[in-house]
Amino acid sequence: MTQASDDANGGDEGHDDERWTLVRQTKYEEDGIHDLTTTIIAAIADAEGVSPVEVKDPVLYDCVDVASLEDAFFGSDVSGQNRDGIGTVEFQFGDYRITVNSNGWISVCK
Amino acid sequence: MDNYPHDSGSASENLVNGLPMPDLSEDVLELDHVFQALAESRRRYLVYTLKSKTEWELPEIAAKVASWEMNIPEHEIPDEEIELIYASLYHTHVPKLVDEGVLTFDSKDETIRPGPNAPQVLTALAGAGASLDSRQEDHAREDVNDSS
Repeated sequence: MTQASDDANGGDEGHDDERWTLVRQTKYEEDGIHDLTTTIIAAIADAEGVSPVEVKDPVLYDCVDVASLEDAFFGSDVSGQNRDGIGTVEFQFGDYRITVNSNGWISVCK
Repeated sequence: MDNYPHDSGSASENLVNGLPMPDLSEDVLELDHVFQALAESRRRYLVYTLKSKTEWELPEIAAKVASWEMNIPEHEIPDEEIELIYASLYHTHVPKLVDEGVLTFDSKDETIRPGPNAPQVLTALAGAGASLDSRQEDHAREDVNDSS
């Protein structure tokens, strides 16, 4: 069923046996008005061709605590400085595999 | 259930750098994680809204939060913005506050009501607001006071 995805952006990690196709990529803006949750849900809604309010199941909070993730990567420390941490978090959201990079780029794979 | 013990042990004897430490009763310490959840401004707005009305539909509250954050009247906010804030509330902030017992959420009619920890949290916020992100926070408080 699942087609191989050796196109431009995918296929370079091979983190597990399943094959994932990149369907959307978006960037979280730290000083933008939208939080990380909004950015992720908007990308999924876009991929599904629906409005963000129609993305209901699963609830993102049941998959990962995104607010904590946002704070961990993009929040400031006690002195108000950015942490400049470097890393990637990957989690499953329904049929999708979401990757959040500390540089703000988010990949939605199916 | 609400039978919190009120003896706070020997805390009054404790000294930190020569200064007496205030008594911290157990129930305050137990709520520590609840207050951590309220470090996020959207979650505080959710709690503030409970002051003026104890039953809210999620889309309604999303419009209100949008209005507070963008500092413009609700009817001027583009629908897409409300939808995005709705998504943020639905997927992260509401479930977190439900977890902490501050809200309850009925997913059938998407209605928010106060949870068991709501009274303590509202009381604490009433005193703490001034030192938090002031402009939006003031705005939210005025709004809540006006509509009551």
